[in-house]
Amino acid sequence: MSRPDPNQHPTQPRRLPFASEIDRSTLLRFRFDGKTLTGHPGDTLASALLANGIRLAGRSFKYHRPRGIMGIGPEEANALVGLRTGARSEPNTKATMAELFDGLEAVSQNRWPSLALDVQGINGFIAPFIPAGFYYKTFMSPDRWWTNVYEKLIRRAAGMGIGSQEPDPDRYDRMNAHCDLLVVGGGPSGLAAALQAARAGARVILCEETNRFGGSLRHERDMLDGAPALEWADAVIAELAAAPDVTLLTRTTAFGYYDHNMVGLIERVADHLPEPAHWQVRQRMWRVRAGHVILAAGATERPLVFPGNDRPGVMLASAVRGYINRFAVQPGRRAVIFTANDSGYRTATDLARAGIEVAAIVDPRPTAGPDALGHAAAVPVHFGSAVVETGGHLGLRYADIQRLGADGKPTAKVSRIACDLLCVAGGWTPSVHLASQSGGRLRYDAALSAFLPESSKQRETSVGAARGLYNLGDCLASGAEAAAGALADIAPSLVPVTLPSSGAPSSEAAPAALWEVPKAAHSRSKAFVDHQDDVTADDIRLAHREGYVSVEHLKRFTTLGMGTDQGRTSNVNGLAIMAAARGLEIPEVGTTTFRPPVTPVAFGAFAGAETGLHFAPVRRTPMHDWHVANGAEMVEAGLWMRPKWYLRDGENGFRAHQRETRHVREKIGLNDVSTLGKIDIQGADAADFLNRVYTNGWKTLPVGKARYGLMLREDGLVFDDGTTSRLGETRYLMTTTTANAAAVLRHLEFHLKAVWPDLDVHVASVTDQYAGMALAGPLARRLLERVADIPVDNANFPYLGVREGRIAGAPAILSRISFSGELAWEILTPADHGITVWQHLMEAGAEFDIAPYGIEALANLRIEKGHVAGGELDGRTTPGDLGLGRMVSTKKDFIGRHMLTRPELQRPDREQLVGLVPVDAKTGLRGGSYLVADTAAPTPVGKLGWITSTCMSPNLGHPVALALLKGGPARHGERLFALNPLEKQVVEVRVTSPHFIDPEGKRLEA
Amino acid sequence: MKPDQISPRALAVKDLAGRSGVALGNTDRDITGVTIAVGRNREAVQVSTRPEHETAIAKQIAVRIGIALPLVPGDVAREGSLSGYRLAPGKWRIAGKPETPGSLASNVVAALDGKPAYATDIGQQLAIFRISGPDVRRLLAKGSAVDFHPAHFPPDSGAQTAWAGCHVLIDCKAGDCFEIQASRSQAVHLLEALSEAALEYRLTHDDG
Repeated sequence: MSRPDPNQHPTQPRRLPFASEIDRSTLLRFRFDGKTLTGHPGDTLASALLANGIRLAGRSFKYHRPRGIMGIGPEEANALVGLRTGARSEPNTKATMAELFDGLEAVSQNRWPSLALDVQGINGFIAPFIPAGFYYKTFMSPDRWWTNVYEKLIRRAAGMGIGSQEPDPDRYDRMNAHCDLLVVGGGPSGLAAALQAARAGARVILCEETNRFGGSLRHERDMLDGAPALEWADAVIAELAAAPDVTLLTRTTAFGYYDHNMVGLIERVADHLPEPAHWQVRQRMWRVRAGHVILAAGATERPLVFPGNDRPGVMLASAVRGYINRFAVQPGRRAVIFTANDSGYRTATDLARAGIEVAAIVDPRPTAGPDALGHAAAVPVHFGSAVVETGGHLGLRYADIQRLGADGKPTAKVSRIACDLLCVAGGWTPSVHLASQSGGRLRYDAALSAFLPESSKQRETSVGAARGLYNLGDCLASGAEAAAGALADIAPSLVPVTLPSSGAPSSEAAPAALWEVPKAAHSRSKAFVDHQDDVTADDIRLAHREGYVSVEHLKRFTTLGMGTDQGRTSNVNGLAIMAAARGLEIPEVGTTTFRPPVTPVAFGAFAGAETGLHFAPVRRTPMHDWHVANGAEMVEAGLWMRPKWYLRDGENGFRAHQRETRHVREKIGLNDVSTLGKIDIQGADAADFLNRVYTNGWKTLPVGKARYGLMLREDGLVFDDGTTSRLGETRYLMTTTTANAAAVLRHLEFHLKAVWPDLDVHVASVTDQYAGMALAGPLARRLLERVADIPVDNANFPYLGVREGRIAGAPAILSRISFSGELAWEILTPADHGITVWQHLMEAGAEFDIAPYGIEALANLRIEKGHVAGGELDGRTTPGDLGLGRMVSTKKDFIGRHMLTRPELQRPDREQLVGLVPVDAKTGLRGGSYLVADTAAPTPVGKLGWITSTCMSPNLGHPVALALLKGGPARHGERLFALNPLEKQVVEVRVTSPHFIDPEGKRLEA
Repeated sequence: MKPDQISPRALAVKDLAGRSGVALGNTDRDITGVTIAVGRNREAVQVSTRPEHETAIAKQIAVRIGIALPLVPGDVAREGSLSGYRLAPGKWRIAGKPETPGSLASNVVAALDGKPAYATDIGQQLAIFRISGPDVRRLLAKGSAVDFHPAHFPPDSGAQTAWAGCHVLIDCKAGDCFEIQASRSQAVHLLEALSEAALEYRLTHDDG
């Protein structure tokens, strides 16, 4: 930035000398397609380009036609550009919505080698061969060419900008908000509504898409109470800003209306800056839950559909007025106004103020209202006429005018008028997207030639131009009245605000419903309906001829109304042309569905802060830091971080877990099992409850004992397993698998609340209350004898015994249970003591060469032992499949019992648990491999089962696997093949018992 | 790792830098908008009874422990340093440091002896964060859909909700002073999320 010197920024030849919103005291430099240009704070990229005399802003989507700036806001369909560079580069941004900042890099899109000379401009010459939907029919065969050749070619030839491939460097977050009244749109209607609500003491949120409140008042030169209307707007904003419960949001767009009156807003916090400050998010998504919503989103001016209506220099009349009044920009030198209503005439006054010669006003109507004629002043007005063709290669050079006959077709002599600016005004389209998304109905108003909100399903009201009111006084009144109505419940004694006067309403002539100018004899140019998607009026008629008569089909066949502008300027014209083709009235054709988001929203904003490691809550055990400090490589296990293995000098991961596995079988190991779900179960009926939850019996379990339990779902399939200990007469401690902890608690609470409310049982999660550790190995007892204050010999502490004692002075619950198959104890101690007990065990265990082991070794140990885990508990297995049929009681009822008796679940040839060993005793097996009997059998080869878990067993010296195999135990000794098509691996295997080590269980009962 | 052993600033700097390329630092603001402190020395008990015994058990706790447990969702009871929250019909959490001898859990168990109610010691599984400052309600609104407007969430209000994916209990201690109770295993994650969300308000970690 620098102080400007009028002599040093000659790049703004079209900047006008009068006052506007731009700050001329500061000069901003930016680049467009590599060329350095200048602008001022307050400029958008579009206004700065126009100020610099640049009319050519892009190339069109399909035909690569030269396109200029057409609008001034979110309706812009032509000037889509790429902004910034590197990781922050963002394509397809509307130049009209991009605020200028110093150093902005902008590039045009969809052209090569340059914007002015685009070789694919040749598409315009072959246009007759590539109408709407041509590629659906053309690129039919061969099939495989579609993805390999055709799609790539089409994507290269047609499309928009290219997004960054780098990670997004910015942060995003979310905000939840509640209010009595949400006002969407900071124009006159919205301001009046917010003012009324604020004075009633309501909680108000007012959001405005642009950088400043005022809406259309910023673009026009309206007066209120004899003063510029923008002064009233500024005064209102000052009052609102001082109100205690009003939230003002600029640069914020309401993009979606959802159930329960929730509206999604996207706040562009830092998009107007070169990059966000380090403490700043780039964008913030708001979820507003509003008592009432007032939709004051305004209206979009419709372009007119005529041949050559897309040349750079053809602009919406309202946009031209905005560029002159808001930005002090002269969009052309010599203009023609082509308008179908009175509002277009206002442009003549502003054009004259900007020193632009107005060559003609062209109006298809027979006459205009008195105010309109006042604006026209001495400008020649061609009533009953239309622009039938334009000319100019990279910019408008002339417009051809012809009278329309009684049949609406051009007739008589063509008048060619030289001009570089054509201001078109085809009428207004109220912004009804949000009203429709809220569930409200729309109706077609023939007098206004527009769809208007008719009824509301949720608590929302459309006001102002969004309701088809285009007079300033009507807009103000509708906003204030809607707010008063919305707040009637909470502010019954509300005093209506006094609104300023906009003067006597003018009498206007009715607008003409000119949906398409018929082609003149000499018209050769295309008449575009949807500029962004290059959809012409002929394309719509082609769709009709092809049978795509529904508007939804029309949209998909032609892409009408798609794209970043969501058809703001094209939808109604397109519907009208389709209605004419079908011989129907417009309401009979209807509209397409208005879906959120109304405006483009970055994926980052939807993701918010939930990215990377914050995608989901990460859980850490009380011994987490010890693991990290002692060589553990941590791995995500569900939401938990667990040690995978502990690396020693020179070890890789494989060697580490093999060493740890061997160590536990030979000596003693310590594993962090804090992650297991733990549930405190209390109540007089606790035993009965467990009896109903588990498949096996629990009524006889004595205090001080634990039992392995198996839980089924209602459908009879295995849900979870774990041990439950009886700590007292009415108290149990249940453990669950790490992954299912929350689901099991939910399962228990559901049954207690909904199924058996008569049971006196209470459950509470205590997963985080305790640190848990498994002490396993043949030397485990010797260590415990040193550190525990209770006897741990077999007589006093048998297998499946549970005792309370102390270790290192800390209270502990010790359970003699084993997942590894070794002599083992599980030790639970209050979480604060976890690290103390762990370190004490490690220090005292040094004498026995104790080693910590991670979850890879834990997996190896349980596979060697044939214990089932996640791979086998996959939601498709029954107790019988897992070799646990003996745990299913026949003497009691339990969850899943009845469904378990279904024939399918009792089928004798179901896949059942087996062990596998490679015949060559060395080839590693891969999880997920299919088991087949004959690899030479014709495809599809019958699948006999699959491998669920595998490991290299260091204690056996060869790979082993668990598998689910048809016929299961009956196949022990058979030879099969494990097929892994992904890895192109075939391994011959021998079927064995799944219990590879200590099948008799002597070790754990030692 | 105990929550009170966490060095919030160090954690936040380390993890944020790795994740999004930004680090903690002073914002352009000249006032502290949010202060985060890690709570210490708390005890907590969950009390559970059948809904039909709710009033009787609340009375029993009031007589024996001295705190009148709330019977209305969202209300928080205070007595000395103890706070009582109604988690569900017939289910409360009592948290704080008892001023009487013995642990809170043992006192509550004794108070409920012979009554149709059960107590579970959950003091070790909670991480406590105290957050305060003029922007604290805005910070809370970033992560939870609860309405934190002072008129709707005044002092002595509590809500169970989710914040950054963590199940939390948020307690309004005073005007702009809140306590967040979360699972201790999620403490670091929650602290990182709070710290990142508070960056724009100028964040201070109170390590004292």
